[in-house]
Amino acid sequence: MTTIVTTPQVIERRQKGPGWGQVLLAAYVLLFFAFLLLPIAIVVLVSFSSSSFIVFPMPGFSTQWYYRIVEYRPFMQSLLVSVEIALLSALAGTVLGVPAAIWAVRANTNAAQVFTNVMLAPISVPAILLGFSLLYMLSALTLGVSFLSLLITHTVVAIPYISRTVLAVYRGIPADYEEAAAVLGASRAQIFFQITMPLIKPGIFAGALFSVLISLDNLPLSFFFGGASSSSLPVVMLSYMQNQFDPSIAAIATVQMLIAIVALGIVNAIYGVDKLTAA
Amino acid sequence: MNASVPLSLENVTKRYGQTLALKPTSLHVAPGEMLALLGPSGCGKTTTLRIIAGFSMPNTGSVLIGGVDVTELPPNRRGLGMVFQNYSLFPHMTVGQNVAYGLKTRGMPAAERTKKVRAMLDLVRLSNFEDRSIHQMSGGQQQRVALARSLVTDPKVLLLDEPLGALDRNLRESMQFELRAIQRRLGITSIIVTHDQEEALTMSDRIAVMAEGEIVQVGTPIDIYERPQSQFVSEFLGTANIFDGTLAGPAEAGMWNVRLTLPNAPVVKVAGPPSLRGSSAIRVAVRPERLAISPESTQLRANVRGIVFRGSYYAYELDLPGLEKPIYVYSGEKTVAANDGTIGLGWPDEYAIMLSDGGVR
Repeated sequence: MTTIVTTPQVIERRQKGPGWGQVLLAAYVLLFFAFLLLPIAIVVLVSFSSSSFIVFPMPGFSTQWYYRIVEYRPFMQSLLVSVEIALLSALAGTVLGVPAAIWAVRANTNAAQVFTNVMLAPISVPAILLGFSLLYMLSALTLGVSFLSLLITHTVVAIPYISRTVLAVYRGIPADYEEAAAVLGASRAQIFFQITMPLIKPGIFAGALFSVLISLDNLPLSFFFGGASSSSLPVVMLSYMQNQFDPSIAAIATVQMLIAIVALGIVNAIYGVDKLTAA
Repeated sequence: MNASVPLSLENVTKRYGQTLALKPTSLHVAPGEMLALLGPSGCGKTTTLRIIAGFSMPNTGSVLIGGVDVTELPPNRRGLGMVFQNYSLFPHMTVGQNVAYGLKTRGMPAAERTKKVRAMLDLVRLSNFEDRSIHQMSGGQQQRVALARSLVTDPKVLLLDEPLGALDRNLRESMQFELRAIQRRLGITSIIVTHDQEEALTMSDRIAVMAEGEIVQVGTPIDIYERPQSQFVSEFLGTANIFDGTLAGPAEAGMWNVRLTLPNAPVVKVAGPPSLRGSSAIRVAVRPERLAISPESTQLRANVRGIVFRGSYYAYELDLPGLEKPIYVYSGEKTVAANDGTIGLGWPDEYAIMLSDGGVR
């Protein structure tokens, strides 16, 4: 049966409001972020406490602990060591890890397959074990507990982070670009610097950033190489906390966090974090 | 070693493990000629192109460019131009930088470079697109940038690897003509690899049909289409109706009587070489557009299975008693079947093609 409607009328469809499911989901997301961010927020808050030990809620506001960490030499010295180690190990890891990744992707052999897996070994072995064995090896090489040893150790861990991300990015890039450049007369070096490098830059950036963040915060490896000139910030923080429990530890943690946030901010300004995560 | 031959392959072979990807192949390309390597995937056409470009080292034989043996030279020292299937334009460079890249690697000063890049972009009708990024260009425009990039260095030979495969149908057709016009104007010797028979027929001076790692027939598009030597070629380029038969004796000059292996053994005339003997097996191909149909009675009668309107012609699918496969006829007119549902089938003698073998595969 057909009904003929003579006067066309506009029917407003009732729009559904948020259902129970959506309310629950919102609540879950809120809780999730609270769980994630609350402990961090409390650390930052406590760093401004006027109390001489860590307590929450805090009795009053003060910036004294920031003066304290600047005055306490081991903190500043080890912070400098940590930043130096993080940047230098990322650089060394890039120089060593990128060519390895490039070979592993383009060499279509079983050896390359095996190599790709072995490359991840330094981050699959428990860090304490790795640190311990590296201490033995580097001592045998007469490097012992030194800045160089610490740098080598952090580089060993930086390589997998960098080469793994570069590997993933480079795998997605067809050889055509490099072949096109070759036909256009480019030498191997020209191809690498003018074509390959710009194309894998997101991977290098992302990998290096990961390795910097991992290195800044690494305790188990640095622990073995903590000498006078080579104690990293986490090592000094740990030993400080074993004796004292004042909010300066929260202050230095806040500074460390700030460094990480600034690093992300710089990379974002230069490059865009969305591109990094896309890699 | 003839310096006037821009490109030749001399007994080139390529093996991957146990499989012979390219059987001994020789090929000579004339100056200014556009030669198509045509074949299904895995026929060796891409392998051949990669050997010419220098990406792949042949196991035996040599590649000569302008009479000079370049087999041992890396790709960047062969002076070739190449357009890739997906264009492979450098995404981190502008249109102008992409086109200029080949000049930059040759160390050409910037001022001269800019001039040449502009001239080349004019040629491909992309003036004023110099500073655009690659992402802002449409597929057809990217294709033209890729062409400009490969031509700006004045290559000795231009290699085109399925250059139009990524374009939609209408654009592909207009690009076929444009690409061909530019190639003719510059008089550049070119090799185009394609699996698209229409592209090969439209664009090339000669076609080398490849199958299972070897060139099975080389000739002009008309040659290949009208006089295929094997069933494979006849079926790969266009559609072919295949009839089996036996030699029944000589007819007039250059023609033979062939008795078709069909119910009442009709005899047809087919042109063939004078060397045929006895009652050897003969395979005959006839193109669908060469077959004539009529309601009147002829030697062959077929049942009409279906008629499809294809715009400029009607495609008939016919059942011929004694043949397993259907017969296809393309006709401009709609012919009505006789009362018993059958239709008369025939062809002028000159359009029957004798295939010299049972066909590859």
